[in-house]
This record gives sequence, C-alpha cells and structure tokens, in this order.
Amino acid sequence: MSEGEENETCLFLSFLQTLEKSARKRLFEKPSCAFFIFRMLPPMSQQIIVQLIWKGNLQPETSENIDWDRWIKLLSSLDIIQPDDESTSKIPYSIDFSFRRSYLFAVMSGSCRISGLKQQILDEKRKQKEVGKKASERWDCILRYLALPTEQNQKSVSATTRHLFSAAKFTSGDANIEITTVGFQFLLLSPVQQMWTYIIEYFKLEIANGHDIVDLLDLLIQIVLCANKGYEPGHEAFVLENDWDERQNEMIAHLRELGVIFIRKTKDGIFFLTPLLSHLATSELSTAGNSIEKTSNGSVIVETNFRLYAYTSSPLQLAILSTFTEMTYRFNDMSVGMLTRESVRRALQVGITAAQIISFLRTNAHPQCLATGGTLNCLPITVADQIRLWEDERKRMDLKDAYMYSTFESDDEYFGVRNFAQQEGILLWANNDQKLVIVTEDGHERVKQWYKANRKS
Amino acid sequence: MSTKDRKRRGKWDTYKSQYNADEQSGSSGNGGNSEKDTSAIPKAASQNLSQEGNVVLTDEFGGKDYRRDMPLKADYMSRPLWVAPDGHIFLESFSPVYKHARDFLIAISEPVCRPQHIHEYQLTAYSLYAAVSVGLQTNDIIEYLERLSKSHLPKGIIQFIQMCTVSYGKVKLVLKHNRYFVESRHSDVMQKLLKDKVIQSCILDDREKPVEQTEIQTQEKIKFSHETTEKEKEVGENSAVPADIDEFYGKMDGDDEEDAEIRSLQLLTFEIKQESIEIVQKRCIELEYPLLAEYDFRNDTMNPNMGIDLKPSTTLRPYQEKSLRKMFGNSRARSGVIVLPCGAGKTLVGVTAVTTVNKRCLVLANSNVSVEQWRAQFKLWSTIQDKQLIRFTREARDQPPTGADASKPVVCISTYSMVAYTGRRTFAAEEAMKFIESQEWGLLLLDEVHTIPAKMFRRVLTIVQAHCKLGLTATLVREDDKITDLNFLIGPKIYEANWMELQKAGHIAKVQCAEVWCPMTSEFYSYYLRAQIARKLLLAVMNPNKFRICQFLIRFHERRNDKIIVFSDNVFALKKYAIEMQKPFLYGETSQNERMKILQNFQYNPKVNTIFVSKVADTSFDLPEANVLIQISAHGGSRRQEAQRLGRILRAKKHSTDQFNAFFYSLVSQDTVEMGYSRKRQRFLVNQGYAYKVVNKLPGMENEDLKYGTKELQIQLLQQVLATSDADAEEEDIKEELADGTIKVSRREATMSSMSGGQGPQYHAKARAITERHPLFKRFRT
Repeated sequence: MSEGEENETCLFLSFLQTLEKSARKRLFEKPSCAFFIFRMLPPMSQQIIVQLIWKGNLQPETSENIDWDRWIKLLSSLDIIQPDDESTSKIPYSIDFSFRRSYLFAVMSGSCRISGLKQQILDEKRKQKEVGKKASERWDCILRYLALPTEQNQKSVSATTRHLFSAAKFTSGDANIEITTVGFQFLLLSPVQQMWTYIIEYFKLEIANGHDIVDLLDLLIQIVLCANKGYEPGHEAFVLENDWDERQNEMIAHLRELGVIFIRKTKDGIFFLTPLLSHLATSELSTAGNSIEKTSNGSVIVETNFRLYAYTSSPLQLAILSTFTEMTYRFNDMSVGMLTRESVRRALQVGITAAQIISFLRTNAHPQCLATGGTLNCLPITVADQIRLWEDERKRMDLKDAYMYSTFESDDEYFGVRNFAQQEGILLWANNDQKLVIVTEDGHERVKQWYKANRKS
Repeated sequence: MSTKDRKRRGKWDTYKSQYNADEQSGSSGNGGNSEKDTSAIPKAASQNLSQEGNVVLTDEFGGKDYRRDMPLKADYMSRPLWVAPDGHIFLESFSPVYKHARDFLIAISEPVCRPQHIHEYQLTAYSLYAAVSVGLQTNDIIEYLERLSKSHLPKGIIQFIQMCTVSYGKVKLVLKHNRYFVESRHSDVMQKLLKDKVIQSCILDDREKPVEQTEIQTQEKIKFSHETTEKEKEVGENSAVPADIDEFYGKMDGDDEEDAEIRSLQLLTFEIKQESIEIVQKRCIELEYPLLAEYDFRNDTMNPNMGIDLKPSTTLRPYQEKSLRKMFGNSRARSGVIVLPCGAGKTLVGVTAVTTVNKRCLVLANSNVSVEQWRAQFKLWSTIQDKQLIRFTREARDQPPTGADASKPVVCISTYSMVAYTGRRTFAAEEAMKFIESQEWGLLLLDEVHTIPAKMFRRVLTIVQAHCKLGLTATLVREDDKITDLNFLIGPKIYEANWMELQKAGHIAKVQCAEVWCPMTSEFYSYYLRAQIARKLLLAVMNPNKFRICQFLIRFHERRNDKIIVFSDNVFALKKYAIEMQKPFLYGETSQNERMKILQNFQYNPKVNTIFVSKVADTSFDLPEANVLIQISAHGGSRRQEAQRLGRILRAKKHSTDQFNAFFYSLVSQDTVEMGYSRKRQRFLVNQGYAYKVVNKLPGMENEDLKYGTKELQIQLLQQVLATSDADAEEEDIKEELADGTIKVSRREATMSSMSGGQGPQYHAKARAITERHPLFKRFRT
C-alpha cells in the first residue's frame, strides 16, 4: 500500500504518542499492553527491542546499511527506549525497565494467558454460529448511519456513536445531521483503518471527558489478544467480569455495538469474539492486515471505459460509490455507474483525494478483476492515472489575490494608473479597450497612495 | 429503501445530477428518432424504448431504479444478463454462459461497449430488424432472452420485441430467373399487400394467376471451407450452464432456417415490375412490412457462373466464417453489412462472398489505391484469372469484355465517385459506364460503406442492378447518425465482431493507445487565446512542444526498427513537420504515381521508416508493415476517423506475443480544444475495450537533441505560423477523384519561403543499431 511510505506509524502507535508520558509508563507495567505494543511496532523497531532485551545493547552489524535513526526515533517517542549515557554501544540507548519486564513476562506466558480474561467452556448448544454475520451487520449499521444519517438509521446506532461522530467532526449539525468531508474520507478507508480510527476517536472522547483511559486500553488489549491466529469466532466465550468499573462496562457495550464482540444477553455474563476483532489485532500497515482485506468480498468492477459495476445491494456501498460516480442503473444485485470528470471532481472538491478513491476501488475490487488484474491492475491503470490527473489538473492554477481597477474617469487616469503600475512592476494585466487594470495584492497600497498624491496635484 | 428514507438524503442530494445522456447515445449508431425522412423507414423502426412515456424511478443516487421491474430469479447467479426496461442489456463476460449469450446478443442488439468484464448492448428497432432478417423468430428471441436473463423480462421489452419483429421479415423480395418476386409464407400479409392500390399497380400483369404457389426445393446448406463442428467440442464442458439455456443455444446456433411449422406453410409469391421495385419497397415499408432482399443465386440460371473458387491454401478465420454463415444462412444470399475491425480481413470476407455467389460482381471502393489493393487481394486469395478482373478507375481502365466474351461474367472494381459521377465523361468512361449499367450483377460489394454520403449511395444503387448487396466496414458510426440509412439502403447489419476478442486471439495487433499531452508554450498559448477557431487549431498543432515530442517519438521508434505513420489533417503542419524532419509526405495533391512510390518505399525500403500522411490515408490504405501511428492533428471529434486510423496498424503483426506490438499515439496540446476533441474521438475505441494511457511526461526526452529547443526558434516558428494565410490554417478538403481522370484542385499560393525546399520527399538514412530498450518502451509493457 502506498500509504505505508507516507506514514510509517500505524494509527494505534500514533495515538500512543499523543498520550501523556505517565499514561504510557502505566501501560508498560501491564504485560498484555507491552506485548501488544511490541506486536504493533514495525519489524525494524521490534528488532531493536529484541536486541536491547537479549543482548543488552545495540550493536548493528557493520555490513548492514540501515537507517536506524528512523526506528529509534519512533521508539524513543514512545518512551520505550531512552538515551543511555553509560552505554558504550555505537547507538547508546537502553530499554525502559518496566517495558522490558512486562515484555519478558508476556513472552514467557503466552498471549492468551496474559490477557487475563477468563474463558468459559461451552457446550455445542451455546455456541454462536452466526456471529460473523451479526457482527458485520452491526458495523454496517454504523457506517450506514454515517453515510446516510436518516432518522431510521439514527435509531440503529447508540447515542455515544452519534456523539462520537459529531465530536470527531465526521458529521455536522444538530437537528439536521450531515456527513462532513472528514466523514467521507473515513468511509473510504479500509476496514482496519476504519476500526482503529473509530476506537481511537472513542478514546479521545474519553480523555476529553476527563477520564483515564489506561484501564480501558488495557481491557481492549486483553480482548484483542484473545484473537489469536486460528481463534474460532462464536466458539469461545469469555466471562464478563463483575469488577469492571463503569467506564469499562461502557466500553464493552460499545464494542458490542461495533460488532467486535458479541453478547447475546448481558445477564448471560459472557461475550464472544467476532471475526471483526481481527481488524484490531493488526496494524493497518502490516501485510497481514492487507490479506484480510483481500479475502473479504469486493464487489466493484471498473472497466477501461470508466464504467463502474457494483455487485452490491448495500445502500452504504452505493452511497460511498456515488460520492465519485455518476450512478446510472440500479438493479437488485448490481448497480451501474460511470466515473466522469465531473463526478470525480465533485468528490475532489469536497476534499476526498484521488489516492483515497483509487485505494477504495482497489480494496473493493471484484474477485474477477483480482483474478485477471491482480491487486494493482484490478483497477485499470488508465483509470487510476486519469483519476490522479483529474486531481492534478486542479492544482495547476495558483490562486493569488489581486486588485482590479475599473470605471476610470478619463483616459489620462487610466494610462496614469497603468503606467505607474508598470513602472513599479506590480502590473498583472491591463486592457486598453475596456480600461481595466489588475495589480498584485501588495501593489494596491502603492497605487492608492499614488492615486491620492496625483489627484491632489 | 422506503420513501420515508428518501425524504432525508442529506448530502447525497447535492451529488445527484442528471445522467449525461450524450455519452450514451453517441456510443452506438442507433436512434431512429433523429430521422427526418421517415417515409423511407418503417414506423416501428422509429420506436425508441428509452423515449417511452413511462416515468422511470430514480434511486437516491440518481440512477434509474429498476429494482421493482426486475425481480431476480432464484438461480440468477448462473444467468448472465440484466435486461433493463429501457433496452440496455448488460452481459457478464465471465459467466459460463457468456458464449451462449454473446452470439445471440450480437444478432438481436447493438453493442454499446465491450470492455473486459461487462458488456453493454442495446435493443433497438434496427437491431431487431436485423435479427429477424437473419432468420430469428419473435418468440425465439423473447424466449431465449428470458432464459438468459437474471430476472424476468420487463413487460415493455417483450412488447417492444413483438412490435418490432412482428412485421419484419415476413415478406421477401427475391430475384430469380431475372424476375422480381415478392414472396411470403404468411397469407394474411400477402392478402394485405395485394389489396393495396400502390402495390397492385406494380404487379406484373399476369392476370389469371397473380399469386402462385411454388414448390419448395430442398437445398443443401452452404458450407465454407473449414467449417468446424464446434458444437461437438462444447458438449460436456458446460456443467455450470443452466440446462434450459444450453438446450436453446443448440437451437439458436445450429441453424437459422425457418421453423418447420412455418416452412410447412405454403410459399406465396407474386411477380412485380422491375422498374417499380423501389415503389414497392417504399410502400411495403409504409405498410410496416419491409421487404427483405434475398438472392437465390443457386437457382439463377440466367446469369452464368464465374467458375472461381478460393485457393486451397486460403483459410478463413472463425469469425470470418461466422459472418459469412450469417450472410448465406438459408442457402440464399442476404443483403446486409458485415462489421469487422480494420485489419481483421474484411477483404477476404468480401472475396469469399464473391466466390460463393460466383456470379458477376461489382466491387466499389473509395479510393484508387484501394481499388489496386482489392485487385491484388482477389488474385491472392482466389483462383480468379486476370481477364476476369476489370478495374474501372481514372488511372487504370481495363477494357470491358467485348465480342464473344461480352457475356462472360467478370469482377469489376471501381470507386464510388467514379460510378456516381454526374458530369461529362470521356468516351472510354462512358463506354465503361454503359457496361456497368447494362449488367445484371450477382453481388454488389461495398467497401467502407460508412464513408459514403447517402445521396451518392442512392445514385449508385439506381445505376447498378444487383441481386445482393454486401457492405463492409469497420466502424458503423457516423457523427451525423446517418448510419441508420444504411439499414434500409443496403440491409441490416449481419455480423459485428468483438475487437478485444480478436485481439486476444491474435487476429489483430495488440495496440497500446496513448494520449500524449504536449504543454503549449506560453507564446503560442497567448496567441491561441486570442485567435479565431481555425487559427487556434493551427497554433495547437504547431505547438513546438508537440513538434519536439513527435520528433522524439519518431526517433525512439526508428531505433526499434518500427515503421511509423504520422497523421495530420492540417496540410500546413504536415508539410512543415515532414520537411523539418526530412521525411516523405503524402496528401491530397500528391499524384497517384508518387503515392504508390512512397507507399512502396515505406513498405520495402529499410531506409524509409516514417511517412507523413494527411487524411487521404485514413481508410483502406493497406500498410501491413506499419506498427506505430502518431497523430498530430485530427478532424474534430470524429470517432470514426480515430478508429479508422487505428485500423492502419491493426493488421496482425508477425511476432505476436502477449505484449503490445503496435502503438498509437495521439498528440494533444494541453489546454486547447484538442483535449476535448481527443476525449470525444476516443469514445468509440474505448467502448470497444481499448484503454488510452495518458502520458504527460516522456522519460529521456531531455537527453535528445530535438528541434525548436530555444525560445528564439520557437518564436520564429510562431511568426511563421502567424504569417500563414487563412486557407493554410484550415484542414485539407478531400479532393474528389473525378471520373474524367483529373483531380480538381484549387491551388493555393505558397506563402512561406520555407516550403520551397520541400517539393520532393527527401529520404533520410539513419544508423540503425539496435540499442537497449528505452525506458519509455518499458513503461508500456505493463
């Protein structure tokens, strides 16, 4: 993904960077959190930590020509490592003590055990088979509300979500809720990005309300850690603890609304993991994350003649597509549209970028396109190029403010102003027939002064 | 989505906009409503589905909402079609039933676009007329369409099909034993015709027996040399195909003979006067029973056979065969148009048709060069003898057979303008025309039919008496939508090939199309903004950046040993470019002799790798060697010209691989009208599945020593351009090749001193070392 180059840090880590140092330190104390943070780090940073933990210092091989600075900067911004004056190493850094201890503890006990959640053994009857479907329904409901904030859709989301979207500026207005540009951009993100963005917005909201989020983060991470490779959604249940505080319980309710976990009835006292949870288990930058997205069924075929065919009946998908597509036909299982210059420009005008459109079309490519074109050519290159060119053509012009003078009283006046502007080098354009003069923004004051001076004389 | 939801759409409202109808209607040459001369066209033909009064619901995103009209069938996944109530049909090309649906849709509808995955067709009155004329029955069309469709057919569609087909194809005009018969198996229709006063007046006075019943001879089917039994191969491989579709496919594909039950009806005929054929044809159209012209050449004993055949070594490609099968479907020859991409072997189809009919044949082409090419092709593919081939052009005029040979059948090749010429002719031409007029031609072969104005066409058809007319073309589109006239002047479209499939099969070259953006220099642009439109175009063409890019591309491709054609509609630019780059050029005023010389040199002389041509070379210049085409100026937004030009490099290349082996560059000056035109021009090809790559930077250009690199030189060029006369700024008019053997030319004064050096072509030799692959080339091989 091209975003990987622009932004090295995944959403979760970027969010950690914004937290207070003390909060981060408290997270390091918890083995689950330290382990999870480690997991979300880019491989090179992981490498550094492993070296620091096991070798005690950082001694890069001389043959390796690696830009360590970048990775070290990330780690120190997270306070996982700090400069160490005593170290004799070429790169004098030492690892945070509690992080080291937590990490070692986690590695030795395994991710499930450190999560600290109690698993409940279930008999066949109580296993939830439909959990995947239900989860995506939940998530779709939320996206649909954002895309089409109608009264009916409003009912299907909680007040917290509505509040969250409005706080994150995804929607605007109180009575007449409308989606904003940022909201559109959110819709175009990949599921992993969307999920993380949402969760982080949730935490931001909590912080803004003056709550401490360390315990919340801890609980979330504990849940996420249960989503190991090969976990069976709907088959494993975990106990809803009674000693969770009010905030934690609220977050659980929230995760339930997102479809990340499934609770049949609160009084059952247990919750299930859903397939959606895997979105949170990875960073949006890792390749593992991409593979999840690819297997999800895309529905969009874009042809070289800029026609777009969407095999979907979901109003949500269509709503997103229609932001940059001219929709022409609607059938029960398929909709037809055209990518036109006008329709794409409309989207560009509200702040959606060409890259977002392109990555959305690629992420949602129909399996047929993937089969013939691969992950990159599933969207015809010419179409991708064209969308970028449409974006570029908007940038070709530099807009600068200027002043135009018109309705001169006499020829003398007109030529006077024009000649003055010319001498001063502030003249941008003049037309003798229509008697119009345009000067630069800075030039206006000088013309004004000159005009005053000349009129008196 | 309920109506309640629609009340609050929020922001989506602002995104809803009218669907750009222009994009669609332009893409297929349909649209009977544009006709003014309605008398020549049956009323049913001017029906237009999308115009019908029904209010179409639109969904919240602005699309036409057909969800209620088209409930899905239970097994919709395995069926490949959506048939929208407005006549548009969408076909999944990846469906296992694709093959079954494709041939059928081509027969009954107009292809709108056929890119990789989903094809769009449109049902029109004309397309249904064509379907009926190749032997499909109303009920079969509806039934098969229903089976292929994911949902039940909308009622309107069924009605439309019935309305358009019920009267078509019932009555035929058959020419046999040199007499014209109207024949039909439907007695009610016959009764109606016979009662009509106009038709009564045209019936040959044969009072005692106006309606006669003829015996039906059983006829063997016409076979083409390599007709493979495709169907056997297909058996067993279609497990995913719903049974009802498969079973019907056999029926549809197997033969287009009339149904047994209809065949059992008596064949009713009456004879009409030869001179009143047109009146009858017109009247029948008014009566909503257009006549289908068929030629029963097997039973034509009056006209002698030619006795020619295809050479044993000649093989037909599957699509060529298929198109001919449609033409000779019921053992007679039908009139109609076959649409094949340029370079896909239209000529061979024509030659095969001639050998099949095996009677006198008149071939009409649109230039003298292509007359020569037709002659060569006849000799190449068939066993025809020299004396059986007669050319009738202003340059080459073979003697029509006289004396004892006078009645011997021949193939005569001529041009449209020659035959339709109304002015005075030379004696020899007069003689030749008499010969053409006096003959009863078995087949009239019309090359590049789309180029001929309707008026000239009518004239040709009144002069030439032919039993059967076959039109050949690559692009059945015209900007003026006159293409529909052809339906009734020649006949319906018999077959249309899919460009992308031919490309995939290697029958035509794999072309990379590129639109190269050339930024205008600021000096040129400031004049451009103030100029008149003709001058604007010239300034856009003469843009020094365009010149440089053109020079760069020529150099780049010459190093690869490519053969390059550069097209310019503007003669001033053509000459200027060619002279500056020291390449031969060819345009309307170039003599026939010089043209042939240049073309031969281009083909065989390894030192001549680039030629500059004007629009005279747009059609039917067969240049099999050429594989790079650069277009520096074009005729407005003509989709046809673009496709025809592409056709110059489409002939399959020897070294065909998966990679692109031909290149089509359209050089466009940025921020000028050329940009908009270019977009328009591409529409036809884009709908055929071609993708234009936009190139706004050519890597490696800065390392080349190209002309007009400095500001001074560019300003000099600008001054030259501004000094040209208005006439120079305009596009070249194609000079009509007149029958009296001269080219009417309005000579212009050359206003530029620089042109004095460019009388003759200068050949420029170049070291031809094969260098390593250029980065530009790599870019195209994605």
